[in-house]
Amino acid sequence: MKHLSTRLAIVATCLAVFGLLLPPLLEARGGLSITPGILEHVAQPGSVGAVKIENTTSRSMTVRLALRPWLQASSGSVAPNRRSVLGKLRPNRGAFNLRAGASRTVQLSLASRPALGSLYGAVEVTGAPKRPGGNGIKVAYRLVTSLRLYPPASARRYSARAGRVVQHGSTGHGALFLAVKNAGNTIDPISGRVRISGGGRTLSGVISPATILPGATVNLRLVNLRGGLPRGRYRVGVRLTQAGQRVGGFKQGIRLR
Amino acid sequence: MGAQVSAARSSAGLLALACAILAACLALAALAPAQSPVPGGTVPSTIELSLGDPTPFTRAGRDVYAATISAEVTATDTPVSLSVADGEATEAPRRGHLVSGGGILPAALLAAGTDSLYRPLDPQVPLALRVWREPVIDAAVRIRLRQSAPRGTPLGHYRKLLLVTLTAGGP
Repeated sequence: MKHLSTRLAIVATCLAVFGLLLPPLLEARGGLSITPGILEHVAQPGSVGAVKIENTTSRSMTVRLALRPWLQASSGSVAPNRRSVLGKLRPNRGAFNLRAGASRTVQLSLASRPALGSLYGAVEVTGAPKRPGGNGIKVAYRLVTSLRLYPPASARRYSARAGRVVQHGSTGHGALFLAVKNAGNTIDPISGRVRISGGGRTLSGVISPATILPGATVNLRLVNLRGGLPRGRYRVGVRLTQAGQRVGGFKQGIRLR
Repeated sequence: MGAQVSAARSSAGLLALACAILAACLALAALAPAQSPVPGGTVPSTIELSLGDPTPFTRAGRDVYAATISAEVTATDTPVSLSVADGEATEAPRRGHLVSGGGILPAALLAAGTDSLYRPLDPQVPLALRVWREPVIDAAVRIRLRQSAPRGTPLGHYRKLLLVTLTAGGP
């Protein structure tokens, strides 16, 4: 009986010690973080907010912060333009050392009102550990978050300009695309409806919503052909909408090959 | 008689008071569930990247060596993408190749995510490792590295700085 109580006491002690040690063991690994992940504000001169950068690793880091414009490809994919910075927007600290376990808040301010009335960009933070581990390969961190400075409600403009309808691939496996330019100053997704008719056949579809940066042009997929329409001449009607408003539309003749 | 009436009146008053208290208690009991705290709250918008130390290169086949870097991703805003690129050389022929002083390994360093295929690191565009369409918390990714070094490769201490990028939120 005495042995049993001793064993229970040992088990209880082990559990207690394990319980005390486990959380620090789980937290031993850290990283680099930014809060908030998306910074949103009205595009007005002055302070537009702040980002908090935290180093929870066990090593000091050299941190650099840059505010960059997005580059949008015609496919719709975006990446920060690493060769450029948003000139009107400035952080109060662009580079600093961040000790292990430390954090720093960087204030962002807008020098003047953007020409378009809005500004969309990326907050890029790179962190290089001062004594990186590894044998031959060293690693550095790069975090990219979103910065959205919206136009004031009264200055929001919704507009889209459509280019020509282009066929990619064959009528059996191809698709029709339409180049659409966001001529407004918001990033509200642009979507719409399409209707293709000719030769006694009609194909209707919905254009999936796509986020297009102001001034950028993206090829929107109108329809997958999949053999639904044989070769020949057709009439394409498109209606584009943004934020619930009709922002563009046209009718075009096309020849499917 | 007057005492009986006043006693009856005070009893009626007490009864009315008791009824009022009971009604108030019932009303409070009915309200109580609606006022109890509802689980929930606001999750702050954030992204975090954790990287482990790269393991040393070990032999993974004939003239091929492999290493790994463990990564953990937390992001509240979608889409989330993890990519890797050369962190020091921006121009060919050093970009994406292990270097030792003036020497450059002829074969490019290859990288892959946990389940993706190996691709060379020498193109200008960062190599995408993984994309998430949902918010993620402590999602683990193994960044796998592979280097070909045929017999006759000059000996040396080759090195490379890799830039691991976590992007969240999009425009």
